[in-house]
Amino acid sequence: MNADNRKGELADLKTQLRQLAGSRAAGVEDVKRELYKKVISYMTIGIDVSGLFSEMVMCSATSDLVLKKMCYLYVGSYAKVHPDLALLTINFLQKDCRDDDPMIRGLALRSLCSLRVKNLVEYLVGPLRTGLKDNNGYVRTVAAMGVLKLYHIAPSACTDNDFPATLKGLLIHDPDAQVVANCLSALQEIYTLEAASSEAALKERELLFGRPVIYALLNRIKEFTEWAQCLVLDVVSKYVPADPNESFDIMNVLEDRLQHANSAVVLATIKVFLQLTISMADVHQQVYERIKAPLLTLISSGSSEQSYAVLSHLHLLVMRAPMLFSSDYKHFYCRYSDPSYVKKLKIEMLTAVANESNMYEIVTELSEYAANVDVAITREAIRAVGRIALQLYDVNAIVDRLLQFLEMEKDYVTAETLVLVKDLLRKYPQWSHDCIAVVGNVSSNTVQEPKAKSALIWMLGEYSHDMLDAPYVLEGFVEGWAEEDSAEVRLELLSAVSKLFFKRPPESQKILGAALAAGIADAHQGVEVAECVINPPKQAVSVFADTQSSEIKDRIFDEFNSLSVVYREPSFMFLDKEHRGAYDYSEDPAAVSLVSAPADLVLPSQSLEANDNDLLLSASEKEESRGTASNGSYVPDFLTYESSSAPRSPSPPLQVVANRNSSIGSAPVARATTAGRTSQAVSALGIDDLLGLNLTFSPGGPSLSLKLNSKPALDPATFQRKWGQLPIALTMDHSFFGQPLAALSGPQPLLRHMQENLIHCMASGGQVPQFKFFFFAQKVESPPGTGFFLVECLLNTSTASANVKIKADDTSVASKFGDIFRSALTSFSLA
Amino acid sequence: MTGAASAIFILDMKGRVLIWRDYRGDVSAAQAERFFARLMEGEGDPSSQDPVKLHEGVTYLFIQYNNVYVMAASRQNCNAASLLLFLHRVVDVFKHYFDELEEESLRDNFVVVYELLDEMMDYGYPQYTEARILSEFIKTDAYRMEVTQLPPMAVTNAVSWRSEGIRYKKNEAFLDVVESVNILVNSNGQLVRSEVIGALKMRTYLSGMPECKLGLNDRVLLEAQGRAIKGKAIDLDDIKFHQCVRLARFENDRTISFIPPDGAFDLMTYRLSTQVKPLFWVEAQVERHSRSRVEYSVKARSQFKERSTATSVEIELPVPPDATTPSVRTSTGSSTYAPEKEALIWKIKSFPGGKEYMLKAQFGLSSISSEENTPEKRPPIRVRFEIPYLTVSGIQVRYLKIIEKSGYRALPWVRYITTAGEYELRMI
Repeated sequence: MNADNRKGELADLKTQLRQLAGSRAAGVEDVKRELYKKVISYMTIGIDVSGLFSEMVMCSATSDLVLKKMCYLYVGSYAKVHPDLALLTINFLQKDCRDDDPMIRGLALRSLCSLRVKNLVEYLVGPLRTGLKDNNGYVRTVAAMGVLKLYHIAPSACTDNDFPATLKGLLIHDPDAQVVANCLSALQEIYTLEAASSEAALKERELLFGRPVIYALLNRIKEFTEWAQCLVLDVVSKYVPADPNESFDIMNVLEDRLQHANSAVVLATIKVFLQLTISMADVHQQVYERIKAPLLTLISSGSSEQSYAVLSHLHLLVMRAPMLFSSDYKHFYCRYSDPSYVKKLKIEMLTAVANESNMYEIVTELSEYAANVDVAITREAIRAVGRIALQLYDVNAIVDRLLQFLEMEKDYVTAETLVLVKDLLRKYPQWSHDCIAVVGNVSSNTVQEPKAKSALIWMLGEYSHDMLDAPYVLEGFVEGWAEEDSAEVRLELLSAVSKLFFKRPPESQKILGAALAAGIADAHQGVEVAECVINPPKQAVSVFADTQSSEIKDRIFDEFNSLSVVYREPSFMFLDKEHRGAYDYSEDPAAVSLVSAPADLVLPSQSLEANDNDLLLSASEKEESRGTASNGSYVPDFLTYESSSAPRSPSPPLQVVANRNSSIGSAPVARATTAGRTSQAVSALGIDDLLGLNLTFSPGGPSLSLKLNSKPALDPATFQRKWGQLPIALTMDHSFFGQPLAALSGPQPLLRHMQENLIHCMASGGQVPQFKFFFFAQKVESPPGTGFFLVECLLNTSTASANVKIKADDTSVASKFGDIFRSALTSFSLA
Repeated sequence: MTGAASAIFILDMKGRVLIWRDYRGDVSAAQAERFFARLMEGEGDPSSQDPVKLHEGVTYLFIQYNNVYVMAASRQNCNAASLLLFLHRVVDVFKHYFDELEEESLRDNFVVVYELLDEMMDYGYPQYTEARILSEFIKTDAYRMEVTQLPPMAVTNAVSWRSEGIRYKKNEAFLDVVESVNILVNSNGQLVRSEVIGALKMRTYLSGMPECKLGLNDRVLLEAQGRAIKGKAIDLDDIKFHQCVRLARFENDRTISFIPPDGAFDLMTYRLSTQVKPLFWVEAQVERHSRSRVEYSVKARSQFKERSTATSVEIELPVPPDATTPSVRTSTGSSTYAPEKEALIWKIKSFPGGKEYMLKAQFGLSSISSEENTPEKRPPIRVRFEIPYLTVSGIQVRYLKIIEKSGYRALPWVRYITTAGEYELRMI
């Protein structure tokens, strides 16, 4: 419809509506309906029909419900953009709120509350008050939600008229369950938002999760619609029972909800059970057993989207209870028709539940996916096989599988596999013989991806003594130097050629010369590159490293059955500030940690005892135990002799984990672990950096380019807020080698010491042997309120180690601050 | 905090908003279209991407149905499982109203769509999604709305799934026991996984407020009653009921008692993960004679008792994408080559138990050699079938009692059927 036509059409509609406005002729309603429908259709397809406003309102004097509905719809759509015209509608909406027909009363009230025009609020209060007392449940349902709408337009108008108090009454006593549910939604939102500024609201909010309300809701749980049940169950999950018996009573009442056909109700019930039993280890484990069957049913029946939501939750659970699903792994086998997003999660689950007993079958199944038509899934599957191999000890069968992948002769399969074979060789050098026999057959010109190329070249260099044609293959690569874009590949090539030279000098002298010449002439790298040859770089093995702190994981668990689980991030990381509400501040990790008993803090040394088979490993323990195990086995080559002599020693003095990365596996995080004398470590790290690993590590001790403010001003509330909002920029483990920490009896000495280093303490707590500190510092010449560094430091005097988490306003300088912090810790002494 | 949705959008296949309902005024249609444009230019087909995505601080949750996307947007930490399921319910409700949900049916019914969206969700919180309840205050055909409207009793009633005052001349209830078998067989002929998903599907046309009671040959129940187990009793893994079933009673004495909704609904679903013998076994031998010709010989065997007969059996045999000039011989049934599916489909109308049929097919391959770099598809052989009067689990309805206070006699009809779910046999 072109502009002229449209104008004509609208004018036409206008005239017709006008003529009909006063008419009482028979059949006039039918004509009106057709006209209204036309107007609504135009509105929907995006044509501005707001010009008809007064005509539409004039025609609204009707008893026909369908006409009324269309009129309300029209008014609701244009009121916000034409507040002046909206005033015209108040009259008839208010009148309709007093209609004999409860349906009309309800609809009119809903429309009135949905106008979202601030200066019309005064007309809203009266009808809302009457609506809350209406004898019809439908009207009260609408009114309860109306209160919330009013609150969002004008908070004070809502609270000044005591509407929340009225809702509280209805919450307990209203005979209609949907009214109760809507009161609950409204009150939760209102009190949560109010709590940011009002102590009273915070208390009210706590009362919502108090016994009288919870019991009233539980007693009529079956009356609620399935959606309202989800809401109620979520509230119940926040209730803290007085004793175990009360927990059991609640679980008995809710037991049958696990059989509900609605998957959201089942998940909500599971949340209640998990939360109620969180401090009762035995029962908590029984709960896991109980919820298993319903969860497994949910992934194989219902929509793909449902599988997706449920699998996200299963992944969270399996991280906490690794053994839980290890015998049910077949439920995670992919169906051919599963969409990719379900397949990806299933492959992750298969990786997570793999153990010695099911590994062979899981890897066999994953190998099937390696031939999948979807390249992304193929890659995921191959990586999963690699991850399982790196996690487990008996990799005999897995190596065979990986080598079979190479024989499939598909470029992307080969590429993905080469990277994994390289990683495996670093961990399990004993397989080199089998691997290189197959790798030797890979035709080097089918390998195009830089990562795969580097891996192949590394293997050619490392095992050149066993690979007959290594010199010739490498020669081919050197000849192609000019066409090679990737610096990583070029560097790898230089070091491989020099390794080759030491092993097979006569054959490789010429190649080395050519490579060095090419390297020195390299425009990108300059002469520095040649240096690498002297000390060949070893890349860190990409491991199944999960850098999320246990605190973050526990928070995600607290937010079970919400987006946090899907995104694998606590809500403060992805929500806008205004949608977080006071609730999140009050449960800020900093605040929680400060009040929690020091016994809750789990440090690596203790978790050494943690049994991997323990079903009830908390997230923190599990993470730590994995971390510890990997320190023993995944260290890069230059550490090998040290780690093998003391494989179970506490973590190496320094471990830098580059940046936070939430998704497991999809972006493996490169870890560089350094030990012993710093000189050695620094040179290696310098090269790693050149390799593009992005480790912003400055060689030669702490950088002096970052200066700290000597008197930073930061109040606890701001600290808390920042701590809640900022992601972790850096974590590190520090060991106080040779520093007699055992004599530390209180937090004071460290506080004074850090203050001398311009790092100030916000809060501290704990007692021997565990202390917890929150430090902060500020970059010099930062504008007020910016440039802050926030630090959480867990110190264990018996193991002489510290776990440090750093958050920063400006993450680009976080690692520099990390250096300063580390050097401050290093120079700490009790003397 | 259980989060609320900001708006519900329905988009066409190009990602344009067809119609939307704004609940909280903090996400616009333009934003939603921007998100969807990003989604579509990203990895192509949106239906293969994560159904929950964050974009500019807004979470979008979407599902696809026919040629439309139904999408919710939220700025809060909402309940993903609940909202995704809600979207499916929205689709169900639209289907109930328009028979089919697609772009066309929406365009014809803008007004009703708005009305429904208003009753299903208020200010971002789900309200009523039972199609039959909603239809009492929203009628598709507006001309029929002569009678004065009262909010249906059910809206303010404890039995939210059924209204009072329903009348039928002939009172009947149909109960279908439908079991769908999921099978996965590996290329080496090993049964990797088998699973039965069962559903008791009811259609009730009953007057008043009927009390129904259902008896099954459930082992737990029979043992609890101390009865001798005659014949087969079954163990069901995980049972789920429609909200009308009194779950507390089931927990106590395993009685399934309920006041049914009017019309069709799933009374109960269950799962059985004990290993079952595959009802159909299909073996395919592939011989590539040269680069230009491939030959298949397929054997299909029914492995259930002879007294049962499968109907509408369809065996989908994947063939190379460049296959041409099919030449097929079958011992029974007919075959069609479906190049769009890259498969040969072998249809057998009636396949009695304990029989074996053969198919031999030969294809020419048009391209001299398939390109090295295109991934080689390896879809499984897929089988579809229906076997009436048979359940894999052995579940039996012992009785279905219907009691209404007016004392009418209702006729219960019970049927059993087994169908193929995801029935996959991988090829070498």
